[in-house]
Amino acid sequence: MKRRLCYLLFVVTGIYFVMLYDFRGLRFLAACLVCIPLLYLVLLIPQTRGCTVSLEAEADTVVREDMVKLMLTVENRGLLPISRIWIRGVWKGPGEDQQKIQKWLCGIRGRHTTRVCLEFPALHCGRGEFILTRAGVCDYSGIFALSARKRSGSAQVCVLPRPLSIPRQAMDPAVLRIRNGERDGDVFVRDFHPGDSIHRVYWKLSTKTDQLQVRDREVSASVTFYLEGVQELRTRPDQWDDYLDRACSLMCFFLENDVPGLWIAWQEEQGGADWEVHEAEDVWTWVYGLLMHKEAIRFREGQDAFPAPGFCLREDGRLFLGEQCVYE
Amino acid sequence: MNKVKRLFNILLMLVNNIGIVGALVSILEIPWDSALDPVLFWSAVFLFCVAAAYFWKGSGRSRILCRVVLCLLLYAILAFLFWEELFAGITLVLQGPAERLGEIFGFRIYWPESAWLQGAGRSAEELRQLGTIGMLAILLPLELAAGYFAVRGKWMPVAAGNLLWFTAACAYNVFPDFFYLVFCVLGALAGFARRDFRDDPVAGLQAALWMAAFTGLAMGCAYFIVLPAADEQYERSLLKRQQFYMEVNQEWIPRIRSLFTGHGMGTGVDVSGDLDRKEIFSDTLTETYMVTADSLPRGTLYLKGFAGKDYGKDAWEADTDEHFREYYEKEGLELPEDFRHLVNIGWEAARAMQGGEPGRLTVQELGDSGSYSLYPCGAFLTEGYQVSSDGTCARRDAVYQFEYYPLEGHGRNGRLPWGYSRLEQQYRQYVYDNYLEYPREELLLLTRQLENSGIRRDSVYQCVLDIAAFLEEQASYDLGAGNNPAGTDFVEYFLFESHSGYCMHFASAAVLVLRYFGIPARYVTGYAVSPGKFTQKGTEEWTATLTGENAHAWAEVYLDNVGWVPVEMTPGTAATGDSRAELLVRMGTLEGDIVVQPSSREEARQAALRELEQARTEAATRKEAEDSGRLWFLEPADKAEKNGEALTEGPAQAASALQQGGKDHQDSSGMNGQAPDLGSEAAQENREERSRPVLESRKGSPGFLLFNGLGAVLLIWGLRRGIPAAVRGRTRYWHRKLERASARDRIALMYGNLERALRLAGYAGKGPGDEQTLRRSLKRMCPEITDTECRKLWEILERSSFAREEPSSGEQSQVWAVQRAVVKKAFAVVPARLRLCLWLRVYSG
Repeated sequence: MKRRLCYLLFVVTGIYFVMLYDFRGLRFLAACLVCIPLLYLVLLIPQTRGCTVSLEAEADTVVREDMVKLMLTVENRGLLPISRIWIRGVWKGPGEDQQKIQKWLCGIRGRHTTRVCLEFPALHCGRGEFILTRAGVCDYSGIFALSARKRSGSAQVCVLPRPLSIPRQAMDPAVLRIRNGERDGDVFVRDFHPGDSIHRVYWKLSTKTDQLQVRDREVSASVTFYLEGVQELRTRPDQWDDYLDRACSLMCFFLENDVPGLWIAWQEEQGGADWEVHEAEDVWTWVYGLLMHKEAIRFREGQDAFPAPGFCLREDGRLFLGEQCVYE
Repeated sequence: MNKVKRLFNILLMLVNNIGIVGALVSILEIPWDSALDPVLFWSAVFLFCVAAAYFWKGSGRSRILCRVVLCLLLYAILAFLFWEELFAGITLVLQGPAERLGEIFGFRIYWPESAWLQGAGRSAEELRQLGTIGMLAILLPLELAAGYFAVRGKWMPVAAGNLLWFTAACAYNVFPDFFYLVFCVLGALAGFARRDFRDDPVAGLQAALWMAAFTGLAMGCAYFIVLPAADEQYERSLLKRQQFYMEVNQEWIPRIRSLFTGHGMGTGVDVSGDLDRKEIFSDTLTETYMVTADSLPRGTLYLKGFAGKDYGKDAWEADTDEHFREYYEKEGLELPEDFRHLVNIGWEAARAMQGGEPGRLTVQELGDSGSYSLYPCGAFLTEGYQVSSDGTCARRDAVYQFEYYPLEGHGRNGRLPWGYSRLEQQYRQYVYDNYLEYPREELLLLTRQLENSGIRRDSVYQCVLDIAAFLEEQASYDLGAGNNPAGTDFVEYFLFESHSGYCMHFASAAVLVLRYFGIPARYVTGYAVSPGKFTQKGTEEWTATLTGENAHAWAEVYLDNVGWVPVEMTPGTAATGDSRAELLVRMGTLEGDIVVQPSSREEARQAALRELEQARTEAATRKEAEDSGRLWFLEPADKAEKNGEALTEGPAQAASALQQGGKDHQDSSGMNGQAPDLGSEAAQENREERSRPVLESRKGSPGFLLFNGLGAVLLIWGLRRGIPAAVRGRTRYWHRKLERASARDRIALMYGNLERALRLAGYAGKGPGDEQTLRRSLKRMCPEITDTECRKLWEILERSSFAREEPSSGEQSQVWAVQRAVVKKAFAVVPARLRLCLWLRVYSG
């Protein structure tokens, strides 16, 4: 813009002085002021045709608090060097306001490819997208610019949560045996062992037998991990980050402790959804699908998630098993 | 890569130098063959470019500073050692342009004489080389300074250089050759390439070459195709512009004026009291008036328009009606009913003296010219004319006529009618009290001259004759004479310096001289028509068409019982020739000093011419005697009078001393307002002493050099020690402050530091200072700081502000670590020009 303004100023001043002074040299300079930029504009056309801009993400996923790196590639297939290219884009980071970016790339040789890395901080979990809105090539004088061709105009990155390691001691040992609702496993009665919760005591039988008896269940083949309030939490980035961190951490913990058949269930606008997880990879796949709104996740429209969840991760990050909080 | 970059810089500087320096040389019209050696000059310029590129090489500031100081020292030493030669070289090259600039803008540049140049036996080759070296000596520091910016890719020197030559071109009205313009354009555009390809000099060089090729192509198109069309268009627009100006002057301005004055329109070449040429709107070929007389005038007809009473710096100013009325009231005189009666005194006097039938004159304005109605002496102005107290008549219609008696003075020795006689007596008193003003204090030189001029005061006729001769001796008629320089008087400059002028000059000088000798006079402008201009259209119709060429200025003297009578002092004008004798005879007859019969008018004119010639010869003889007697004065007469001595000096020195006001010469000569007699050796030495530059006396003084050298060494030592010491001192102060503060204050200081660093680096968040904003700012600036650390920092800050317990040393360390990381990042991120600000405001520790 500065160069254009200076050019306009020169033109106006030139006209003024040409009218004021009868110098042939001055008229020559004024003529140059018109001819040179015009010739550069004409040259700009083939330069623009030989220039391509493309964008790609270095990695599809990035852990939160890391940097999102996008590679901007400018290829100049023409013989003439290009003096300046400007790129305008919009970065839509998850949980952030849109950020308009304008970048100038100066001095690109003829028949050369230039790569520039754009970095953005991944502050929140979710889908980040950079859209290349416009790219232009400037002529040598910097006055005129024509649009360059864009090969790929956008790049998406998934910002994954950052799981924390949960020590084994932090969890109630009974949880590791995973109790679920009536759906999974049979109920059986056994003697009271030290460490059992007093709530499990089967008082009716205990009074009859004069021994403390405890209700217990069989280890289930699968367990459901219900995520509460996903829909509301999505709108609160900070809490959503902490929630996802906790969820992933817990899932990884369970997987590490050989909890079989973990099913993740949650409720969204479209309906209830669930996802089976056998290994850590499945957790990341699930998170990716959740954050990127992928079709891989099937929603049961109009239906809720599993009616009787086993584990429930509440909105405040506490893990409940039934009515009992087992981890916070 | 660095080598390529340096090569690029050198090429860029060279191209710009060829353009800018070449343009300046071309504009200043410094001759290549006599003042500059092209080969030596351009080779040296190339070497300067190379030197400038290498001079600023390196990043060590102290090293560069050492180089600069050493270079300056070396330059200063060489300049002192070879001062005379350098000054001679600079004089050869720049004195001419400087004096030309002075002529254009009307000021005097005192350029001391170069003793080296005055010496004998300097060959042309020597002078050329000297001129070249002088010019290079001026260019060297400029090149080195420009190199500093060029190496850093800054545009400033190129822009400044181009602006300089452009300004010089406008000032000198000379544009440089196309060759240098091409280089200026190429240099400016190459700057773009330099800037855009600063990271890849190789590509930049390629781009610059391509740009040069295409720019050359574009300039070729501009020169061969666009420029001829532009020239044609310019000519057409010039014509249209002139037509527009004429329209503005001849229609718009008079219409606007008529709205205010109500006296019709006045435009075109207007007579006035201004004492400078109006070049923009003057048009000597346009027909302005048509004058029709019922008989062929016997002599030159002087049609007056403007009458000036007071002599000003730039113009003669007219008398005002208010002043006239105030004077009459103060003196208890009877105000005339109408000012036109004052003008009609001449008519009545002529009628009384000559009798007979008056002539009739019709004036027709062609193209609505003039703000005044013109009328000749002896005209009778009727009631329809709006006349001012100074006798000027406001313009009324485009065509007007009057009766008039040509004032010839022969015939009956009549008296004015009683009413007019009384009017004339009172008016005479007014004239003698107001039209004898002579600004003695401002015209000291003229006064001195007139005191010794030998002009006779026996009679008005004699006096006017001698004054005409005096003026003719002092100056010649030249229509191309320019304006007087600023600081000089219009008449004194005309009479004693330029010695050339036209009617305005002669008329102004005449009025002042007449007043000096006690003859009331005024300055009049109008039109003068010689009888030869008239052509007969009918039996009683003689017509003359006046153009701007006929515009004229003359003096009028007041003759008792007659009124204002014109006297011609200009020795020959373009339109009327030399009509001095004619008017002289007329005036003399009217005054009664001479008696001329109508039949012997031509003889009287010849006699007057002879007397004029004789008076001129006498004036010339007197002038030579004065010159040989050397009666010139070095300083203003009042000072000389105070000193009680007449000063003697040569004419040239006196003239230039007058330009300086005399004081400078006195000071430099060390004398108290006195100059020695010319011809004495002391005076000769004195002049030489004065012309030598002041610093000459210090040439080669060892003490001075030693002092300079010591000063430079101390400066370098001071800077090398002082700057790091200042930095260490500040850091120590900050640490001491932290140590003395309490734990809470320490946290607050560190947080303040952190906030300032964020703000100066441009990462401060907009919004309330809450945890989120702080976290966002920190994350943006230092992504390596984790969320947890941000949260902990915030908790520490909150606890330090609100909790009872003092923050622990662990917490302080955490805050310190974050603050340090942020400040360090800020120094890396902030541009160089803001680092000092950052350092001053943020304690980096």
